[in-house]
Amino acid sequence: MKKYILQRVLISLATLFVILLVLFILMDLMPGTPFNDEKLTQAQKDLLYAKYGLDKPLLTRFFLYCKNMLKGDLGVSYAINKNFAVSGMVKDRLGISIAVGAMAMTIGTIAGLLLGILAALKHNSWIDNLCSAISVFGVSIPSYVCALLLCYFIAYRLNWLPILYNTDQPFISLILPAVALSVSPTANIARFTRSEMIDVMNSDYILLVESKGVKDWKMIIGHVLRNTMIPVITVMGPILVNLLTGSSVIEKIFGIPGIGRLMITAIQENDYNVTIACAFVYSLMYIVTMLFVDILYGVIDPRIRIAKEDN
Amino acid sequence: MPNTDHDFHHDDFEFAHEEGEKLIDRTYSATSYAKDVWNNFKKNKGALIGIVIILFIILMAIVGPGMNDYTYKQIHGGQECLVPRVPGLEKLGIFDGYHNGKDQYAEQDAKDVYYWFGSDTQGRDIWTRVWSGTRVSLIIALAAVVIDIVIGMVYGLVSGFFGGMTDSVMQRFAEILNGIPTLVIVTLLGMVLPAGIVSIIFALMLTGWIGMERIARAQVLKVKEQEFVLSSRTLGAGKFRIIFSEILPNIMGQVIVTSMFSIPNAIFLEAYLSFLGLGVPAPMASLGSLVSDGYKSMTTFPHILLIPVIVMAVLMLCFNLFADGLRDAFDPKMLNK
Amino acid sequence: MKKFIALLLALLMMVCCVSCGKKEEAEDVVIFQNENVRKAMSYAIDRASLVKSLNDGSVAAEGIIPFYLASNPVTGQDFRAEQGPIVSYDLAKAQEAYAAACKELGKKTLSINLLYGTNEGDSVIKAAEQIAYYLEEVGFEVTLVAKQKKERLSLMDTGDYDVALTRWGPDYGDPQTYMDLYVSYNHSNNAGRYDSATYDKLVEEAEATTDPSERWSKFLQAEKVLVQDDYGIVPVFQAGGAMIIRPTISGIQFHPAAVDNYRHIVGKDNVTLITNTDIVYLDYQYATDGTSFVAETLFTSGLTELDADGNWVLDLAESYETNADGTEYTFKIRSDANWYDSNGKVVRTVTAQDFVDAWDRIMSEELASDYSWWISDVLLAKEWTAVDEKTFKVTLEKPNGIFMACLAFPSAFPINKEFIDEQGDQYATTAETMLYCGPYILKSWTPGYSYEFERNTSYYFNDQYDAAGTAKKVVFRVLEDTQTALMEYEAGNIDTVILSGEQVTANKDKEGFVNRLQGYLFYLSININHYEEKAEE
Repeated sequence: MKKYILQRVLISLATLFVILLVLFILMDLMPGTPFNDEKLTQAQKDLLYAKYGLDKPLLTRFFLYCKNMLKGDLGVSYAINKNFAVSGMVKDRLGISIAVGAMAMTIGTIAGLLLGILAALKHNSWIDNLCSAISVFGVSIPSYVCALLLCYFIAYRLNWLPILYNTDQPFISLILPAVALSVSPTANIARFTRSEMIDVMNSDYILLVESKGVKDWKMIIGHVLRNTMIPVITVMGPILVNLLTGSSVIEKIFGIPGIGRLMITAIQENDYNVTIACAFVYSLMYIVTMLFVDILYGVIDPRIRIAKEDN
Repeated sequence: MPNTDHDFHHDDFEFAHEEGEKLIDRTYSATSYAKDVWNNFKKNKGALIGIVIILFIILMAIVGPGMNDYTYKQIHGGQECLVPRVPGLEKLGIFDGYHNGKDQYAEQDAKDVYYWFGSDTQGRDIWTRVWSGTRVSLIIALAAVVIDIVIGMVYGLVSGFFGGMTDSVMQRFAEILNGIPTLVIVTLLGMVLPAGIVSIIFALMLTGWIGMERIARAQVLKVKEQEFVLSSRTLGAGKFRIIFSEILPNIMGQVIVTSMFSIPNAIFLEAYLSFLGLGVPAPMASLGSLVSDGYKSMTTFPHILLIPVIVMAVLMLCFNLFADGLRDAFDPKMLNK
Repeated sequence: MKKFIALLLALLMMVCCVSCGKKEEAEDVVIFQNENVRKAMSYAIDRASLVKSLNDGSVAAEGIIPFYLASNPVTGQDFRAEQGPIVSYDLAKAQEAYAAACKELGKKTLSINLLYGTNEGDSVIKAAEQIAYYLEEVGFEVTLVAKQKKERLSLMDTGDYDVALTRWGPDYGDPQTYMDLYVSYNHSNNAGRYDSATYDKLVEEAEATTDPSERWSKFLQAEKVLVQDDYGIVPVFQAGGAMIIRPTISGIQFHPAAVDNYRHIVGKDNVTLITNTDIVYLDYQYATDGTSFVAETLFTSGLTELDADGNWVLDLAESYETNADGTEYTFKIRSDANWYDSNGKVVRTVTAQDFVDAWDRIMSEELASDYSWWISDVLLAKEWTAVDEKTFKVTLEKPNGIFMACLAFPSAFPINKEFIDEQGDQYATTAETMLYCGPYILKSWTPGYSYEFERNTSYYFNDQYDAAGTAKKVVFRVLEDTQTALMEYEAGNIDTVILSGEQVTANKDKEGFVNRLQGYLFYLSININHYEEKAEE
């Protein structure tokens, strides 16, 4: 198992390196330059290119960037906050996005699992139908519509929570954004848990457990859920990454200085260093999460664990 | 009980049947897999309702835009943001063109004008736009499902089934593709490809299938060690035979249900793509772009948002009912019940 | 299965090729050199209907010079009022011109691609759809090409467009800021390569003359040539800015052709304002955007300041003298003008050398400032020296009527060179790494969230501010979504809110509703000669 994990970590590092290279090449293909403001002349643009070293060949820039990155230097911003260290910009905004994302994921997981389990246990009853309807509406209504509805009724009309994010009460003011963000993960997890659980409950080994006289709740927690979780974790991984790396629309609506918004602005402004940094943070989280999911697989599913150990 | 205590009777080895009873072997006509699926599907009422409503929406998407005299891009200066008004229904006090207690149509000097679903902020008929938008979105939805199933499922099946090196390489490739934010990829596509439905499908094709691929792979990992696969293998079935005729039917249900959830994602991604210049070019509409446009009027003229959202939600609900029916119908374990 | 995938891929590629092929076809023949094509476009657009549909306070353009940009040096009449409307909506004329154009070009229909930016505000997207509709009414076949702003600019730079919806924001209150754009040799701004000897000559003459009223009349003529005679560009609308300002506060001064002045807000001690974009850079010699400039005029002062009517008044300069022909200005800097750190402690006094350093720095190549031309091309400054500690002398190339007003712009403000050298790369990245010489001091800046100012109680103008009841704290909150902003305003947490077109109808009767007309003028840039220029290359 240890050998397997070590191997996976090494492969993941290599994957990250490839992604970084691909990102660099993609950046080079981006239309326009960070500097083509209406009011700049060509001579001024050339000067700016030279100043930021953008006139050097792609590979030179790439290796320089890698070298600096190991030192924790992600370059400076060209357009969003001129000359700001990108590492600082990303650090400030990532924290808050992770906070919202983690809250949303917690809400989404708990609500999704509850809905899904409930629906599966009461398969083909009205509860099941209600849960299905909730999850269908959850994916077909976009998060920004939910966000504004929540804002209007809970914050503006009822005055229970602040409308906008503010730094004086960060936790309280992040509840609404987190709830709005959690709608779609809730729906996805609920839907998936339900159908997985129905599958598991119909399987032979559960029938065996049942016939052995194991108590209901014990059977559900110890056997059904454990087997349900394996594929559910697969869908949860990417959902988690998407939540943690920020949602630009939610950040826009609640005025949250998060990383999702930063990335959109960076792409629109062609701020190369900021775009690469944001995209790389996304990739890093994705790869790390996938690594964990793969390892978790082994922990939860004895068959996979044993297969891995045999190798 | 010791055997020795047992007495044998003379009729111990006689058939226990009444005199004159006819012995007939009951035979079932052999039904094909497809027919089984269909029979199972028919039994599911929800799925039937779903398919009927889907067909109705498809019909509306075809004939809806032609049902009045407006076109989707016709701008009516001075008739912006009108609320729905339907002849007949207006007498019942609903859809009568009143907004906040005022007759908007009278105010805009448009007494004989009817916008069944109202008009948007540019004075365009929402009825026409919603149905022509539904048309675009249905095509995108179909493409999304096909791409999900064809690319994602096959990739996941192969990767999960073969395992080892093949799996490792295929997974790394998918990870690299998915590790780059979709936004960066589609922004670049926006530069290369012209606006239009083909480009949207292409963008979906590049990124949309990975979620499905992971699910299909996880399902294969779960199923492939099970006994029926083993038995098939012992009987000498080839690898592709095992994948497509043993494993595939067993994971099909999950795959179909999951693919339904990729529909709204695809429809909303399209709305974002039009922002990048990749989506359907304005003034053409899609459900996604109608929803994101309508959002801006949500607190002032909610009908502009509400109508496409309702169509979207109903469509999704029906797709799901339909998918549920399909899932049950496809499930080999359910076939014999 | 494999076969099926292969078939699908092949099919997709085929469709891609077909649609790409179509695109090239459309660019085959350049139709915009034909004057009737441009004429048809100019007359086709119903600007009044268009701005009504935008509903955000925008007004229909009457020419390329926006309303309230500049006024006649003799009579004081607004340029726009004096010129009158030189573009109009006339469907019959447009159709006539279109028919003539078709005949001249030997085509049945004329198809054009209309390029516009999708991240330049909702109004731009709506306007593009409306323009496309009006052009189609006349007979054009219009394809809307949606691109991000940077890509739109880059496409215009390389001449890969037919017609583009673009804008220009004036830098100073003079017609020159627009007129300079379309001279044939301005390749940075004249994307369509409009080329008219008459126009070039008029603009050159206007810029060369020392007689203000001759200059004025040349610009009037030039605008007519560009817009009315040649249809070189098609003006569409001037951007509005519908907003609500809490009725209890007043004193925000809006200047369509200069930086808005937020230094004199009264009515409340703590004011929270909404901004939809963040500060880009605190270094006022580097900044290029309106939001940064507004913030910078709060914490730094120049020799002059603009008052509520847009007229200049002396600020850090106590007095000034000018020679007979108006080419030499000598400023006496206030003895109580000081530099302060972020805690409000006096660092040292503001000297004439600070202005010399500032102008040297902004003009230097190493800084590569986007606004170096402010000193050379707008102020027309040739030489600047420090006569003594508090006397600053400027020599101009020629008399300049807008010189004093343009000194109120952040690009002309002083710097503290020792401090900048000491801070190095860190200069102007946080509130602490900045020095202040204005009425407010930046207390904190959280990028993407807010920036806060506190009144500088040691500032020379402090007593007058206290007497007027000027705000002690001004907070700018960065918020892009107008719907939550309006809720926040109604909940009483913020004091201003910017409205989108969708919100105006429901809120225009609220107390405090204002329409702040902006200087931005949106127009259609037509690719007249750029295709040909490219072909020659």
